[in-house]
Amino acid sequence: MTQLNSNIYLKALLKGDEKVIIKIYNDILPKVTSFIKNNKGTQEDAQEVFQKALYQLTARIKVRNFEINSSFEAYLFTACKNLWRRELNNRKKEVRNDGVFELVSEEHDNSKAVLEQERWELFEEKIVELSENCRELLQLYFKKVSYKIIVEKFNYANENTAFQRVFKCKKRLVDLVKLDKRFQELC
Amino acid sequence: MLDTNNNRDELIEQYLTGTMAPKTILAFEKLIAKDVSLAKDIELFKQLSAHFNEDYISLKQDIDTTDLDTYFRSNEAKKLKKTIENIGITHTSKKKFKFPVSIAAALIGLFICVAGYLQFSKHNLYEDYYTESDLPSLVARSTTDNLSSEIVFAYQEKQFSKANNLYITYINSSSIFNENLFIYGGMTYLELNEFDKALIEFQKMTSSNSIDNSKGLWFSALVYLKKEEHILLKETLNTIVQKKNNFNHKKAVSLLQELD
Repeated sequence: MTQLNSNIYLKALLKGDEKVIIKIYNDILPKVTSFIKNNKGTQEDAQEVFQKALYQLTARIKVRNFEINSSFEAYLFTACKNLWRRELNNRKKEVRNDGVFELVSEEHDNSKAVLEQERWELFEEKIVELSENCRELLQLYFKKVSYKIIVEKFNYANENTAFQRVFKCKKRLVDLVKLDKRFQELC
Repeated sequence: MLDTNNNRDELIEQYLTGTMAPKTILAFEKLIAKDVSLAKDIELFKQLSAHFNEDYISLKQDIDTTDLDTYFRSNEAKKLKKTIENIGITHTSKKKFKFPVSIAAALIGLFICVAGYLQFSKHNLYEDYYTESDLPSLVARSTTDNLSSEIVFAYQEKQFSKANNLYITYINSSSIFNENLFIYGGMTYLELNEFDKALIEFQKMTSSNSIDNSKGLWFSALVYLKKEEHILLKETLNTIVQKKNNFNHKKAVSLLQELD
């Protein structure tokens, strides 16, 4: 994808600039399609997710004064991945017929998806602020890898040391999230 | 009465990892109901856990979406939505129009180097259809089941021989068996190109009482795909496509189409 400034894409999208939107489809949809087809989805699913992500992005620009700090392509691909995860979860719920279904308007569902993407970004930003060691450690911890394996991987003296280290990293991350002004709104 | 002043985080950890004593759980849940900040900490922990595991977790119920709802109801938003969708429709139909040209190009390619193309294609099909996200998630931090965690970890680290040895030790020693481990066992054999042994493990999964037993069929299909046994591959895929709730039903349909 030719790197236009990400915010040029945002402005063009908000104006409904067809040339730029076609370029976005041409450049990014194939990558999204490949991801979704490899993760239990179809071409049609990919198209739907892609359109939703673009549409929800317009709301972020208009209502939330959003600006992209990375590349437009990286942003949109991540937003599509997150939306697909959301969709798969909803489908799983339907299959299991879990609980009572909440009747949600399409507008409200889009709003929730926008805020979920913002929460995802908040967590990512805070994780990046941790040390590399903490990040790796928390990856394993949250993936429920046993302390025995964590001890081996990090050459810790024993499981108690690993526990203490995980504890500190977790606390640091929680504190970072809580200190951010977005925490009260999104979490 | 539980004292959360000194060991609040440890109690949260115990509660969420299922290591809290049943008696303490009741007392702790009473505390959560009364203490908003404790409830919020637990919620945050769950959200972070979902984030690291790439799982989905919905937002809290009382979140304010008024501004966004208003935007999505506006004519401006609806007009933009229509534009995005219309471009999508044009984009898809243009791609369909181009399809015969792509086929022609592929046919020319086929005539030029049939053998090479087939080898490349078969290899790619396995790469396309095997994804690690299809593997079951079964790691537990319980100290009683460290070995199963080690198998999964070694597999994820691509230490297939080690994972395979651990798996053999596990099936010979453990009295409680999680059927999902058959998939990891089979995959370790498949990665080591021991196809027949891989098929035996996947067959065990298919015949098990697990709710996910159809995963055994899909992974058996992957063995045939990698081994290039196309007749058995098609037979297995045809079995999968017979029931819509079979694991990877859509992928099986798509793979059958590609093979045809």
